[in-house]
Amino acid sequence: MKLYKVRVNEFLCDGCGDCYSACPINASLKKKSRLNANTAVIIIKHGKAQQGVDGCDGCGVCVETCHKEAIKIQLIE
Amino acid sequence: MFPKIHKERDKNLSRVKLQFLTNSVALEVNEDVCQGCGICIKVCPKQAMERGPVGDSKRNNKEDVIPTLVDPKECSYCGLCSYMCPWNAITLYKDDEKVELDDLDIVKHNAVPELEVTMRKCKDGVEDAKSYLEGEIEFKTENCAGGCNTCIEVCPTGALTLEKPDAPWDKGRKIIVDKDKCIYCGTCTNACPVFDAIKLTIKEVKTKGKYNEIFWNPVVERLKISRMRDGKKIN
Repeated sequence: MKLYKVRVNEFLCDGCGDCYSACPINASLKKKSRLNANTAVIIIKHGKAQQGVDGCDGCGVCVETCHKEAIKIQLIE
Repeated sequence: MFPKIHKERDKNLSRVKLQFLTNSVALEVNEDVCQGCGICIKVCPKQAMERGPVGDSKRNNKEDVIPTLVDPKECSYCGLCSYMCPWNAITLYKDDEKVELDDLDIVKHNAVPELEVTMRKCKDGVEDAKSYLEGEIEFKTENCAGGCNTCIEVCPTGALTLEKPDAPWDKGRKIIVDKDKCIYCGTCTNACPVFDAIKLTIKEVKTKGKYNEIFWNPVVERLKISRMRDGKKIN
């Protein structure tokens, strides 16, 4: 059951890709060389970051990393 | 129709309430005190509790992220989670009156034994913790994603530190556990985004006194599970 989701403010995001490389789930997928657009939790699409596959764990690294403060983790019920 | 189910959220208190015609029961989680260790999720006999984004709620203390969530339909309002919580973050209310830990029904009827508690000091800004678990913790750095530091930041006692690398250009990867400080609460396993990087084995739950085997034995068994997520055993 998924409860939280990455929300990106598209007006603030500049598509630097820091969150994509900082996300630990993306990093663990990269170790197994399975990281692509269909498996990543955060993806960069059309120059903006956005939520990919459901599977965010809420560690908050992307929120810390983002220098534009464009990312939020939100609860869904 | 009765019972009515309420879900309220004040600034730092999330509350679920079951209102019958004349009486009511409620369970309240204090989000400021809760560290997201997940002991309540493990011990809950009805598996009514779920974890929220633990790491994010501890890093940023934002208002829209809660470390633990209660399902008001599943909860049986027994108060076991409030009895086991190391930080006393959970309180049970009966008819809007706070139920002290000694007055819980499960304690009165000897369903659970008395916990042999030693109080442990936590890092700044966190209240002292009840410590009653004995075990071992192992960090498998080869599975670690590397550099997210979530476990170090969420650890309520400040027992985890990053090893200094040999050469200045190396990245420190190994995590050192201070065994005098660790209370084996499992916050790091609960917050770690990778599946098999941290292994926690609980060897002993320190208790004394009489207890009901049918109720207490499954609780101890579930406590020994390394990591519980979505009610399923993962490792």
